[in-house]
Amino acid sequence: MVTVFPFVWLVATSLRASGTIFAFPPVLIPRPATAANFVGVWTTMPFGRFFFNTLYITGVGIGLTLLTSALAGYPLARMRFPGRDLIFYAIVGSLMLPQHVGLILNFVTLMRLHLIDTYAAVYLPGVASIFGIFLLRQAYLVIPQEIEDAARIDGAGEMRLWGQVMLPLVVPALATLAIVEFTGYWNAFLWPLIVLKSPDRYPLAVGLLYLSGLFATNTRYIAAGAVLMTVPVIILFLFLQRYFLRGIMLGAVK
Amino acid sequence: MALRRTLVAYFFLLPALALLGVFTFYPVVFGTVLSLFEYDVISPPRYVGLAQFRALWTDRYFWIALDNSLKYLLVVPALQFCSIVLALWVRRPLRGIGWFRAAFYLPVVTSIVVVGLLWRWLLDESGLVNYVLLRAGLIHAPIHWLTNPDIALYAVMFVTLWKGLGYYMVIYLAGLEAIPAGYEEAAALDGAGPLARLWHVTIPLLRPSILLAGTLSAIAALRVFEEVYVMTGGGPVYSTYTMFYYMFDQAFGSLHLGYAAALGVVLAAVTVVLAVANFRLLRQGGLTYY
Amino acid sequence: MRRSLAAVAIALLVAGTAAGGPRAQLEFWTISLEPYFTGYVHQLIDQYQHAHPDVAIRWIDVQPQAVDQKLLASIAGGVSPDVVNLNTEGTLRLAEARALVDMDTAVPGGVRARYFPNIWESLRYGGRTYGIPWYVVPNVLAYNRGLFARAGLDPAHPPATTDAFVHAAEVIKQRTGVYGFMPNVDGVRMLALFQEEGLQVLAPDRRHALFAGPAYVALLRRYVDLYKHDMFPDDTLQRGYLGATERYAGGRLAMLTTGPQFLLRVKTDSPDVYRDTLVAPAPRGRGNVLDLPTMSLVVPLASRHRSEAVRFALYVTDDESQLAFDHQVVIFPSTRRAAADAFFSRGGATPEDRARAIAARELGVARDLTVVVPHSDELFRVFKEAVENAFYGRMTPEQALAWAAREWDARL
Repeated sequence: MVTVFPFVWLVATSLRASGTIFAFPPVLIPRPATAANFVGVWTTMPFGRFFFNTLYITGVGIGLTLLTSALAGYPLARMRFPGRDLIFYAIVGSLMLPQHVGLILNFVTLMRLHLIDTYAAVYLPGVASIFGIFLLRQAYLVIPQEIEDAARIDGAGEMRLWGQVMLPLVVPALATLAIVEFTGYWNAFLWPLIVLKSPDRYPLAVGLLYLSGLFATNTRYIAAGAVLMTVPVIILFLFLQRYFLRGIMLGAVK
Repeated sequence: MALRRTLVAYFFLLPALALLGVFTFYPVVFGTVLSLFEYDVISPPRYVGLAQFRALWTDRYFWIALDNSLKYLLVVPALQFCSIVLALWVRRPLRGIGWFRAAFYLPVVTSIVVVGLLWRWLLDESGLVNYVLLRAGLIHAPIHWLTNPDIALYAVMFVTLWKGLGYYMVIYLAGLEAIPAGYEEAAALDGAGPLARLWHVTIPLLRPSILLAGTLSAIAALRVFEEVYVMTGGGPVYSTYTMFYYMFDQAFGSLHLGYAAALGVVLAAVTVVLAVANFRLLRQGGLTYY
Repeated sequence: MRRSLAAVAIALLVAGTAAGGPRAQLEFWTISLEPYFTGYVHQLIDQYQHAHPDVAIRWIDVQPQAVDQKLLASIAGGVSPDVVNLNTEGTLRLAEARALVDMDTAVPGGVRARYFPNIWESLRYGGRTYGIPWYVVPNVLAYNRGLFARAGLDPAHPPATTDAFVHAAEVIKQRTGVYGFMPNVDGVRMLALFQEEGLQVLAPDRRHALFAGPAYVALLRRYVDLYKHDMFPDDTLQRGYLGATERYAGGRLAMLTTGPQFLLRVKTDSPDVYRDTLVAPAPRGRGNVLDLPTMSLVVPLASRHRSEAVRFALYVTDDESQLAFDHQVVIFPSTRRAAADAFFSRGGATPEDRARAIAARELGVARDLTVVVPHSDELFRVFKEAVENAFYGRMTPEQALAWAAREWDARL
């Protein structure tokens, strides 16, 4: 009740044809219900642009995260080489490091790389995911040695062994990782707020707040925008609940 | 052969290590260094030693922000309490309980901007919350949730709690599942009532989860920013101005990057002290197997 | 397959040469011109690009609350814009940070002469001017005829003095339950209120703050008491003029002292409230002076095309461009020739036309009341906090102003 009710109210507000959001008594079943606000938010505001930006950042971000994790987890799990344990403990241990100053230093770094106000500035600092590396290492670890041996007897090189034998076996772990990372990239707010300046590159979270300042009087549009931003995440969550919860529990173990 | 294998291994590790190096390790090391410099990007950095930390000592906004951030930690015990109760409640094998759990998890996956805007409207002077309370006869005049400096911080804390509840609930559910059923049954056979069982058996066995969730939420509470930024902007009269907010303002509002780094170092120190204290506290209570 | 790859490669090459031409990319920031003036700005830019094929202009519209901070962050990030619209407070703050081009040097004397000298000088910091004046907007009083009538007030006689204004607001709140006004007390706007009542903020040597005196305290106490008696909404201190416009457009506020350009917002958002709106001169205080908020264009030192940027800023603020803008919305030009245009004295029946005629007459007593001080960042923050402390009862008005004055004196 306490958690769902505000969402119901939000959806109801987004469907209302007129009036301020502060109507009494509160309107829960808008009559007449209208989709005009949803149309309005797409046509009169650069909402479609924000939507595309979010999709792009989320897509590229997740893709690169999966790639780096799938790469890095492999040697940590299945190869012996000098420095392996040191690297592994350094990676996991960096979770303990306080990251508070990261915001400032990463801004300076991206400035030196001339990446401020680019999409890359938004996703790059988050691409190497410690959780992802850890998760993938666990997944590679449980692959039976016989499978590897058989592939080697067939004459598979290191790259083929990884790409054609190992990678397909860790797809479930990659799926979990993708879902866990999805909400992170989709909802990212603070960091894009810092590194982006052009409204035409804003993702939804930053864009929505920007619009709510610009069109302060038309809160029904903003409510419609908020609903549009939330719906994909909720749909994904309802269908893939198990993965989400597994993600948290695994995260909790780290 | 061994060399080749090593090279291949490092080839696989390269992207991750390079990115972690640049965006994770480098900032931690050089953030501390930066706190000893005055740096505004426009002119080159100037070494000033500990001067910025001394300046913090006499900076009234630093103390206001630190005070608010420490107050914000109150959200930690409240959050643990609520989510343990919730976890115990949704653990029962009822029909549709899955949907119930999902409902509590909705705020977790929703963007903080949406949550902040939503509650900003609900908590408005003429918003829904006041309407409901007025109609129920619990209050006689609307409460200025976000514009009264004595209340605003707690109103924002409530939103943090509301958003975080589902996340910690899941951690506790995992913790509860790890408890072997035999313990509680044995206690029941000994004649312990449900409350006694909860207090003497379940809660002590949940300690690892409490330690984890407590530490995580304390770290999150100390770096609270988004809720405040969306809902109150740090006001009224700095009553919701937190350490992280002050750091953000100094760094990106006034370009005092060195000073902001000094603030970050203090905040990091507080976080570490707190994490260690948390660990000690729960360990003393007989947490032997963690 | 191979052929299509080649086609793509050629397309990329062609695109590369087109983008790599000798054009100077100028980034132009405005404040809150979207969505109402999108057409005007596009036209402005198109014309300029047509006349200057070597310049390409990229327009970004920024929110008023965010512009200073975004500008600093962009300069720091190495992606500075080239021409930026700021208000006087922002211009002076950035000038103090030594981030702006000195316009006394960059603009030739002959061109400088086309602007009103007093407006040009209001953008002066440390003896140099750091912005090119664009447009000015004296406040007018907009009020809701229906609410006036419901409160038993005569819509034909709106309050002319600040005393009458406050009194009317009290009557409206008591009789209708709707708030009468949202006074301009947020941020540092109390400093302008002092001056409108004839109270100077700084001593003539500019090294002492004068606002700890009894007359100042009395003025602050008056508003604090109004607040305690719920005579204006509690978000006045947070939301400022944007909140006031929003409330007025929702029919939940009877009187609005605002720049007339905001009437356009009321008109599009709530046509029914707009139809009920009458306009009158802004109530005068004892000082017989009105604030004249000034918008200016600045060029950051970090701009890569400074001279092109200055040239574009001069184009945006020339007589012709300004007149075209003034026809779109009730604002006033910063150049003398444009201001002399007959258009400004012509009356009309709509609230906007009336507002234009009224505001044009007010220009005589209006001037930019922004207080120019060093360390404006810190001083303004202290003043704002002091005023808020007084409103929220954490300090008495005496304590608050005395504390702020002490802090100011220590830094002046």
